Amino acid sequence: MDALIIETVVKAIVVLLVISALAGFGTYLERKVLAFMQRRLGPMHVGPFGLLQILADGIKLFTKEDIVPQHANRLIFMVAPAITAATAFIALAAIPLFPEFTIFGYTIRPIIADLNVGILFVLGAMASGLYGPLLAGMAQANKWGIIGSARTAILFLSYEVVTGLSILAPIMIVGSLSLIDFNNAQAGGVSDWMVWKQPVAFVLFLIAGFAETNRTPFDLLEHEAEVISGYATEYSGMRWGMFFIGEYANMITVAFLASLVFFGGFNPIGFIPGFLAIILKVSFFFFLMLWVRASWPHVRPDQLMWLCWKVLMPIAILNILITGIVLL
Amino acid sequence: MESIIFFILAFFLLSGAIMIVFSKESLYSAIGFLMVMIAMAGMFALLHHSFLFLAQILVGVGAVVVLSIMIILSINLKEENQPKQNITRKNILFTTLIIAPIAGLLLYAIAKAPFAFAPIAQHFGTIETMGKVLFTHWVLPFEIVSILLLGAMVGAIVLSRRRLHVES
Amino acid sequence: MIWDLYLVMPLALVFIGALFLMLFSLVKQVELTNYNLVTVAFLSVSLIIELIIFQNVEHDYLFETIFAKMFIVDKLSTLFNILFLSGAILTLLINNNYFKSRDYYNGEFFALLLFSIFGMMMLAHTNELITAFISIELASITLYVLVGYNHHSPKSSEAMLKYIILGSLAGVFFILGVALVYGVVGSTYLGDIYSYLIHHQNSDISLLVVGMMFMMVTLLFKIGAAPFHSWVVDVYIGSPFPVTMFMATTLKIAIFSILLRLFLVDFAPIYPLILEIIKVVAIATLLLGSLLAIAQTQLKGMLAASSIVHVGYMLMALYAIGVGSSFAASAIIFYLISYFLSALGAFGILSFLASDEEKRHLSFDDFKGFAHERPYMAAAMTIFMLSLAGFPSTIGFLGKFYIFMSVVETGEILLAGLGILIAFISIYYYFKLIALMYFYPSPNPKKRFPFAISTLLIVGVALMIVWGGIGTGLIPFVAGADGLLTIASEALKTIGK
Repeated sequence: MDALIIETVVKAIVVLLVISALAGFGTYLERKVLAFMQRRLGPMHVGPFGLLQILADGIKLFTKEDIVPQHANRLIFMVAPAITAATAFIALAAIPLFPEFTIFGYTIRPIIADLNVGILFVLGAMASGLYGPLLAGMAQANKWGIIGSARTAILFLSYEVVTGLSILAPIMIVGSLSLIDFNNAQAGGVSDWMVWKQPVAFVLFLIAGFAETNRTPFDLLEHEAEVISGYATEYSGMRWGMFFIGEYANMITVAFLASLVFFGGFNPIGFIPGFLAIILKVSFFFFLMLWVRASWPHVRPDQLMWLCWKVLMPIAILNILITGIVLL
Repeated sequence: MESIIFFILAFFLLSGAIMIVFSKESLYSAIGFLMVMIAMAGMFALLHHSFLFLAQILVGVGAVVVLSIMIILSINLKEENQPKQNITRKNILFTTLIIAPIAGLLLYAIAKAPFAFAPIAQHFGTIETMGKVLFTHWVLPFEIVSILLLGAMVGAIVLSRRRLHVES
Repeated sequence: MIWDLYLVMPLALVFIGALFLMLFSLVKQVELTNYNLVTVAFLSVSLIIELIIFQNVEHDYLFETIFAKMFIVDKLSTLFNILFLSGAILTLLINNNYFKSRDYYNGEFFALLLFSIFGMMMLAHTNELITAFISIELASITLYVLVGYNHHSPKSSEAMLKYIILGSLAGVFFILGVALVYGVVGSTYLGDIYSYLIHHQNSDISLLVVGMMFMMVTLLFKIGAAPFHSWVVDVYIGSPFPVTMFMATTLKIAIFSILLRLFLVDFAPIYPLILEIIKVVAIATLLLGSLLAIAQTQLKGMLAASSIVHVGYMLMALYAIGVGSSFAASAIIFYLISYFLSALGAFGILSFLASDEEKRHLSFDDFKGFAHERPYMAAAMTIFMLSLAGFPSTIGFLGKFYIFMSVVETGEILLAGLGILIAFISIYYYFKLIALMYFYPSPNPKKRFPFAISTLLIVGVALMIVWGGIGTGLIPFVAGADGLLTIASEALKTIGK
C-alpha cells in the first residue's frame, strides 16, 4: 500500500515536471515551425538556434508583476488559471504514457491512475478545464474577457458532445473504456489500427480535439483581431503562463488520446520499440496542430456552431448507428 | 481513511450548499453549486461507483454548472436589479425553528431504520453492470426519461424561439 | 404478446401523435384548426381503444418479461386514461375558437399537450415509484411551458416562472421520499412495499412513514392543497384558458390516480399513522380555499380558488379511506368526474367569450346583465355554477353527496358538518355570478346564439351535468350517473394486492 502511494506520488511529480517543461519547449517549437513555414528564422538570438529563448521567456514570466485589475473579483481571478493548469494535468493522470518497463528490477507502469473508465475520466477532466477560461473571463471586469469566456463556454460545450460521440464508436468496437484495453486491442501491427476501422470517428475526433484545445482554426477564445486576448486579456506574469501551460498540456493529452485510441498506442511497429513509437505519434500530432495553424484561416463563431451541431453531430450519430448495426 | 475522506467531502458539500443560499453575488452561488457537484462526484467515487462519478463530472460539472454560469454571464446581473433579500438573524432563527423538527425526525428515523444492506456485488458500479441494469430491469423508466428530455427540449425551443419572434 | 401490444396502443398513439405534431409544426402553411383536429383525432382513436380495453382487461402486467412488472394495466388505470383523454379532447374542442383568435398558438402547443397527456397516462399505469416520479415530471415540465405560452403577457411569463420554481422544488420531495422508502424496503415497486409492511410488522418503519410524508408533499402541491396552495390562483390566472382548463381538470385527476393507488394498497397498513395530517390538510384546504375564493374579484381567480376548495372535499374522502369507508375511493373518482365536467364548462365559457368579443370578461362586474345579452350562455353558466356549488339536480350535488356519505359512514360527523358548511359558503361566490347575470340590465342588445363546435360542446356539457344529476330517476333502463359509481368501484376492485 505504502509502496503504491510513493510510486504514484513519484510518477505524478515526474509527469508534472516533464509536461511543464515540454509545454515550455512547445512554445519554442511552435515559433520555430511557424517561422520556417513562413520562410523566417524565428527566435535566433538567445543561445544556439534561439534555444535559450525558453529560459528567457520563463524568467520574464516569473518576474513580471502580478497585476489584479481594480474591479476584478479578486479571489476568482487568482484561482482561475490554476483550474486550467490543474485539470489539464489531472486529465493526464489516466493516460498510459508508455509501455511497462523495468528499472532496477522494479516494474513500472507509466500510468498514474489505472482507471477502468480511463477515456471518460480524461474527457471529464478536460471538460472541467473549461472553468478556467470561463471564470477568468467573468472575474476580470473586462468586456473582451467576458466575450472570450462566453465563446469558450459555447465552444467547449458544443465540441464536448462531438468528442464524446466520436469516441463512442471505437469504444463500442473495443468494448471497454480503459485506455490500456484500447492499446492491447490494436496490438497486431499497423493493419490493426483503429483508424482503418473508424476513419470517420478519427476525423471527427481530430476536429473536436482542435476545438477543445483552442487551436486554429477554432481559436476564437483569444483571437487577437477580435477580442484582444479573450479571457486572458487582463492576465500577466505567471498566471498567464499557467493558462499557457494548461493549453499545451491539453494539446499533449489530445495527441496522446488520438495515438492511443486510433493509432495503435504504444505497441511496437516493426523494429521501432513501443515507447519510441508513441513519442513519434504524439510528436506527429503535435506537429499537425502547428502545421494547421500555419496554413488555415480562422472560422467565425456562427460557422463554428453550424459546423458542430449541423454537420459533425449528425455524422457522429450516423457513425455510431452504422457501427452498431455492423457490430450486431 | 474512508471516513476521513467522507467528512472532508461532506464539509465541502455542506459549505457549498450554504454558499449557494447565503452569498450575495450570484457568481459565488454558482461556484458553491460547483463545489456541491464536485463533492457529490467525490462521494460516488468513495462508493467505488465509477460510472456515477464520471457521469456526475461530465454532466453535472461539465455541463449543468457551466450553463448556469453562462446564464449569469449573459443576463448581466447588477446589484441594484437584484431583489433585496435580507438574511437577518431573525430569518435564520425562524427557518431553523421550522426545519429543526423535520431534520430531527429524519435523523431519528434514519437512526432507527432497520437497514438491511446487501454486500456489494463484485462488479458494483462498473459501466458494464450499470448498462446491463439500465437496459434490462430499468428499461421502462430509462425510455420515459428520453421522452421527458424530448418534451423538455421541444418546450425549451418553443420558449426561446418566441423571444426571438418578439424582438423581430 | 399481441394482446400486450394492443394494451399499449393508446399510449403509443399519444406519443406518436406528439412526435407527428412536433414534426408537422415545421410546415408553416397549415392552419391552426387542422393541428387541433389532428390532435383530437389521435386522442379519439386512443380513447376508443381504451374504451374497448376497459371492457376486457382485469389486471395485467404489460410486457412482463421486458418491463418487469413496472407497467400495470387494470381497470383503474384504463378508467383514468379515459378521463384524461376525454378531458383533453373536450379542452381542445371547446377552445377551438380561442386558438384561432390568438396568434401565439402553433403546432408545438399541441405536441407539448400530447407529451403532457402521455406523462399522465404513464402515471396511471405505473407500478413503480421512480417511473411515477418521471411521469409526474414529464406531465409538469411540459405544462410549465404551456403556462407561459402567451408571450404577449408578462403575467403569463410570471405565472410560468412561479410554477417552474415552486413546482420543481416540490417535485424534488417525491424523489427524496422514494429514496427513503427504498432505504427501508429495498425496492421501489408498489407491491413490494405492501408485502414488506405485511411481513415486517414488528420492525421500525418510521423512515418509511417519513418517506411517505415527503412523497405526499409533492402530490399535495400538484393538486393544490393547503399549505401548498399559494401558487394556484396566480398560475391559473396567468396561464392561457386552454392550459388553465387542462390544469384544473386533467392534471388533478392524474395526481389522484397515483394517490389512490398508493393509499388503497401500498401504504394502507401505515395509513392510520398519518391520518391526522390528512385531516388537518383537508380542513385547512377547505377553509383557506374558501377565504381565497371570497376575496377574488376576477372570475378566473374565483374558479381557481374554488378548485382548491374542491380538492379539500376530495381530501376529506381520502381521509375517509384511511378510517375505513367502503366507497370513499369511488366517491373520489365520481367527484373528480363531476368537478371535471363543471369546471371545464365554466372555463370553456370564459375562453369562448375571450375569443368572441373584444370586451374582456375578466371581473365579476363584466358579467352584469349577461343573461339578457346571451341567454343560452348564461343558462349554461348558471348550470355550471350550480353544479360547482353542489346544488341538487346537478352532478355536482351527487358528487358532494357521496363524499359526505362516505365521511359520515366513518362516524366523522363533525368533519362532514364542516364540509357542508363550506358548501354553503361556496354558494356565496357562485351565486354572486348568477345574480349579476340575471338581475342587472344589459347595456348591449341581445345576441344570437353562435353555432360552433365550442358553443355546442359547452351546451352539451351543461346537459350532461343536468343528466348526471336527475337523469337517473327520470329515464329508466338508461344508466345514469349512479352507473359511474358502479364503474368506479368495479375499477377499484381490480387493483392487485
